[in-house]
Amino acid sequence: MISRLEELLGPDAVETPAPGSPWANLDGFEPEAVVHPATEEETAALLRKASEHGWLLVPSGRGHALGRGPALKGVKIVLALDRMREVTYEEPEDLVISAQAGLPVEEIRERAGKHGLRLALEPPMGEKATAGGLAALGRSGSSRARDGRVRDHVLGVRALLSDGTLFSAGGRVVKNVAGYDLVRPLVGSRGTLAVLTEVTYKLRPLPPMDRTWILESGAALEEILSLGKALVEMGLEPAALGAWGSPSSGSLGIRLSGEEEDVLARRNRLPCSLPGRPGEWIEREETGLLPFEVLPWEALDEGREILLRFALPPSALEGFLSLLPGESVFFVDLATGRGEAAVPRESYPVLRKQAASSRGFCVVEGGPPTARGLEAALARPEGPERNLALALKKALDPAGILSPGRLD
Amino acid sequence: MDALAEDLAALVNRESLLTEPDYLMTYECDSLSFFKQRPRAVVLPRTTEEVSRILAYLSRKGIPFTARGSGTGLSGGATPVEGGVVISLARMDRILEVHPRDRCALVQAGVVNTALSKALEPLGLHFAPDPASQPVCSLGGNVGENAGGPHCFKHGMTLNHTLGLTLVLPGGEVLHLGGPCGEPDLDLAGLVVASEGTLGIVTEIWVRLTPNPETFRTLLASFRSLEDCSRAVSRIVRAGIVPSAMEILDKKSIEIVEASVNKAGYPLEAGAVLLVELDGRPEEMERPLSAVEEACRKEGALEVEFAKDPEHRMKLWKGRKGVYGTAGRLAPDVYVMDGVVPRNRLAEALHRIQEVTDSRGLVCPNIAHAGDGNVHPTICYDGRDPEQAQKAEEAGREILRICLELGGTITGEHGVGLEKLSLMPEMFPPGSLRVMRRVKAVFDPAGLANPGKLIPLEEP
Amino acid sequence: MPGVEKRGVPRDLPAWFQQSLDCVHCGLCLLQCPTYQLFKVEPDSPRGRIYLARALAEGGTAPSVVLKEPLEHCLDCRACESVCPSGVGYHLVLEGARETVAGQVPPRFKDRLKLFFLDAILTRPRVLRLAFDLLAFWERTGLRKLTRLFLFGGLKRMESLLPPIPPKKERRLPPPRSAPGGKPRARAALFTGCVMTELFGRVHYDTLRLLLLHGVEVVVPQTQFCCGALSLHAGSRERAMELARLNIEAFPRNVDWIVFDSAGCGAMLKEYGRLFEGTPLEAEAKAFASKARDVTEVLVELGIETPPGRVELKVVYDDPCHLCHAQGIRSQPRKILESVPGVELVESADPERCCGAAGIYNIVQPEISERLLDKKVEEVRATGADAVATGNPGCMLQIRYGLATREGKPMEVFHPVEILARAFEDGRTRR
Repeated sequence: MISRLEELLGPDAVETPAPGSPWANLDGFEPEAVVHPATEEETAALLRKASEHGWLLVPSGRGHALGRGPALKGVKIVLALDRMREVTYEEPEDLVISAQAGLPVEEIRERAGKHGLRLALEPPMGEKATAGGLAALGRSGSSRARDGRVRDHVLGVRALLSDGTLFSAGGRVVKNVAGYDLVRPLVGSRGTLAVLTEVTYKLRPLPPMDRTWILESGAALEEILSLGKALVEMGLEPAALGAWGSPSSGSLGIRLSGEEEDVLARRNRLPCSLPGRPGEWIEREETGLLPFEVLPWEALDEGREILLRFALPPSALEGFLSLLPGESVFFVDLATGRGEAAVPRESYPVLRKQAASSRGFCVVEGGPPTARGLEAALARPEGPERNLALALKKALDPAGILSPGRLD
Repeated sequence: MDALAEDLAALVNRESLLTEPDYLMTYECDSLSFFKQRPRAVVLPRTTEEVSRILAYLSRKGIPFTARGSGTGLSGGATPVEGGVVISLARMDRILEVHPRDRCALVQAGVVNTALSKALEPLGLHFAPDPASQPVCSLGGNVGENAGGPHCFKHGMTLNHTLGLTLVLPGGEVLHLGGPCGEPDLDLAGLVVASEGTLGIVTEIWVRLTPNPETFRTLLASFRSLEDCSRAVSRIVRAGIVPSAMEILDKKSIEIVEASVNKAGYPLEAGAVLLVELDGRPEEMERPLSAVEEACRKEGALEVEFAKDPEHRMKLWKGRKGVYGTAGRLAPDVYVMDGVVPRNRLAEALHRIQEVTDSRGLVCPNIAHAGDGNVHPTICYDGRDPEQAQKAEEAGREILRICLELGGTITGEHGVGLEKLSLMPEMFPPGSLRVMRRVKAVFDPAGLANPGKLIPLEEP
Repeated sequence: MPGVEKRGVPRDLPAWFQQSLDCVHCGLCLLQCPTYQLFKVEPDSPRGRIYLARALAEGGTAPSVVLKEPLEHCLDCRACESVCPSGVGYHLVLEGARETVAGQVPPRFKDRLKLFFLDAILTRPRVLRLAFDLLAFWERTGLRKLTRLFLFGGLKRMESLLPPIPPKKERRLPPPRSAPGGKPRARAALFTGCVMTELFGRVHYDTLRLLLLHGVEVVVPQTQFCCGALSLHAGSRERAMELARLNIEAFPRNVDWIVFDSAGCGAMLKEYGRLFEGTPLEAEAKAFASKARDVTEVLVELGIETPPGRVELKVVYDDPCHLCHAQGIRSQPRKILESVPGVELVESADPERCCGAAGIYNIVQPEISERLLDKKVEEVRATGADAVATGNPGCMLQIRYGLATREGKPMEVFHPVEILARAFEDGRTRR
């Protein structure tokens, strides 16, 4: 296989994973090769070959999101798109940028920033993300309240089916309803349906003011949540509103953005602090809540814990979070009801049940590969919805070589 | 009553079924009356369960079907299929659940866009997409077409406000995709949005609700020419302002609006007007508003007028939203186009569109959701004159080709339907069409759900 | 449409057909239509009916009982015209289509009976007077109460639609000429109509009193006829034109206004010009129509005097279709009510949706009418008002009947001028 790959892409584009590199350990096993095609054509050729021979592969940007979400099975090749990093279209006046899948998101940010614009997506671990990875993972960050979901920001993609068929979906304009919106199932599909080669993102103007304040109170979850609820009900419309910590000691952060006068007016409406507790709102130097958002990941002890990703209607958050065991570490976006928590493995069934009964969800996102099995997969465990998802996978990837294990 | 009618009547009830030829005739087209096809029957279910029963029956018999909301679509998406049945969701008009704290609601597909916002008024919430037909169009139709509207520049299209939906597959199977919190898995609900009823029938929708803005500021700037007007739009965008809406109306549109029930007070001497709206908290209005005014003045605005009160604002908007219907006074048939170009190519696009219609002697009021680069040239013609009809069609095609050439798309919010089917191969590489056909076959292997719409059926 | 050339429409087709061509099928009328709101089917919508009418004219379909049904379901409330961006004269299309169908599909027996009643009684003032005298006798002798016990079905319903017959002095026309104190500011002729005089003659007296108080000299032609609206809506254009001609002859030329206090009649009077288009009477009919004014229009134009008295009343105003949709009069009646000290004016959910009266619609289409009335009663009751004000006899009868037959707190029904007149009355007695 290695020699065939080298024949196809040239020897410098094929490597065996170096120990310590992000792709050396894929959910408990080691892939045979990491390939770095330089063009869309090379990628297509590789996919055709892989389809033909049944080589299982996983597309990746710079490898940092491997080891998350549903566990991979039997992957032989990591298809690293990190050499495809051109900006293919840039129209700051039109608030649009297209980039090849391997371009680091940071570079998009820099380019946009020069024109007073921003990519309005702040996924956790953003500094390592690539244009393709961001879309494939579909994870927006804590600014979701203001900015919406990843799918709201991807205008179009170019992608390859596993048989090498090149297709485009969406376009470069903000409104486009021509044909099926294939962008939507691709965003968040984690490389199971097709390989993204180019992504077009919307840009937004940088707000004149963007500030973040935090309240490190050490108060219990209950108190934190009731203050958070009050903040939501005050109609402050924060760009982000997060709570984090452990059930016995939590903190709260709020981010306000917009016109200067408006931000300051809303800031002045923040209740001084929790009643009867010390501590007050302190402005952060950096904007955003990123460092707190990754706390559960940092705290995760893979030996006995798993990392849960959940979403609940905000009104049901209290009931759900009250079930978190004392040693958990969590971050929750109070405005949209999404969050993550590192919890002991045995807590999962009860939390999942609670989320489902509130019409939300709770899935395993991190932890040992054995914990990230069927329950974590992109298709539901059962029912007609699962059948449809599997049928879609089969229609687009008939050879079943893309990211095996994540969907089926 | 023929066998089909009898069977359908047994599945629902006689009152939920139309079979008289005269009544069926009124369903032979949607708002695009260019294409006509009389259905075999019209069924008006009231529940998901009824829809499921009907589809299971039709699939057993191999009869194609077309879903219809209020029939206000502009691309023939609800035109019946030959030998097919129309499933009207108009009676599925109940708002099932509202969760103000979680800012979402569960509605049946036949609920009318403004009816939902009206019901939510006391809660201070609304459904953001605002197509011009919003007083009548159904949310199911909005989902089917991914409807937009003037205010989607800031607030997004129907897709961005759809959290989940109930889809009945052509075989009758009922699927719940997404939900109030979206999905941890594949975004299949997002795929169904804009699928124009070709993947099944959407019967219930989880919609996202948006708080009503505290204040609106609306201004109307008049310009000597369309070009000046479009340049002002680019300047506003460059200044980093995100108005909730930016609408351009050309001279002809101004004339017809001013002569209709929706008279808005647009200046008749202007070559074009730009209607800009900002919404939000009072503290966040002043700087952007003066930046907008300044941008207009810098591009040679003849006059800049601010809406004095809510009534004045409504009047300015009513004029804009009525343009399409008002064009009916110019000719018996009206063909409203829906192309999109990159915002910074808008001036060029509008100029070239005017050339296309002028050179054919066609009257064509031009309006555009300028913030999105979405143009709606409205070609007026008399369909009873074959020569005029042909000219109108040619002009339409050429306009959409211009949009493609400038890097845009053939439809921004009206859908492909029957109308733009033949342009799909020009818009997409063959691979895309192949993928779309495979997707269609996953949901609808027998090809019964609104066949012949959205994608050309056969490989070219 | 001024300034805009209508292209490509041959001129040799009936006027109503040309109107149907203005429809671009946009559907903005659908939800305005009370019958579409009820049935949610296309043939029961204005767009659907226009489509059918157009097909009828173009030969795409033929008159039939099936085709007739949705045309008959139409209330002719013209709510659709209020929102039509293309300005389609829907009522002209409807009337044209109804006429075409009526010529070829004979009415059902019970409809014929109703039409006979309409033609024989309502359009003949002397017969009408006699009929009401008999009704008054029937009531006074207690026979009405007795018959009530035996009535059933449609007749029972019609009996309860009919309010107590007013005393004879109210049913008399006001005097031929009344002058205000001082030099008159204007001269008006009062149009009294048919049913209005017999059932709400008191409103004519209030109208007269208010006009005089505002300095207007009032003449009342003593022989005048039904305006013709009911005949026209039933598809009998000839009879309507005959009645219109009689009225045009009966009214003096030397008046500034022809004032009416019944919205339905008013809408018809304003249409006289169009009715006689292309006939020798056109000019005269147009002159007549141009002077027609609703009493609320006239009072607002004159500037409402502040009444000396008070009327403590929470009132919900309900727009008669033929005032708001046909004549575009919405603010004036509300101004009248607001000018009365003590009146609290409130709004219901959908004051412009038809109550289901619609001329004789509530008699010929009882099922639909009752359903619309259910909604209307529910909405006006929800405002918590003590009284409903509305300026059309059909609506007044219908809403009164609706309130009486549906559970809930009792509410009175007034014409807006009655409340204003009472405030002047109240002031006088107090002084």
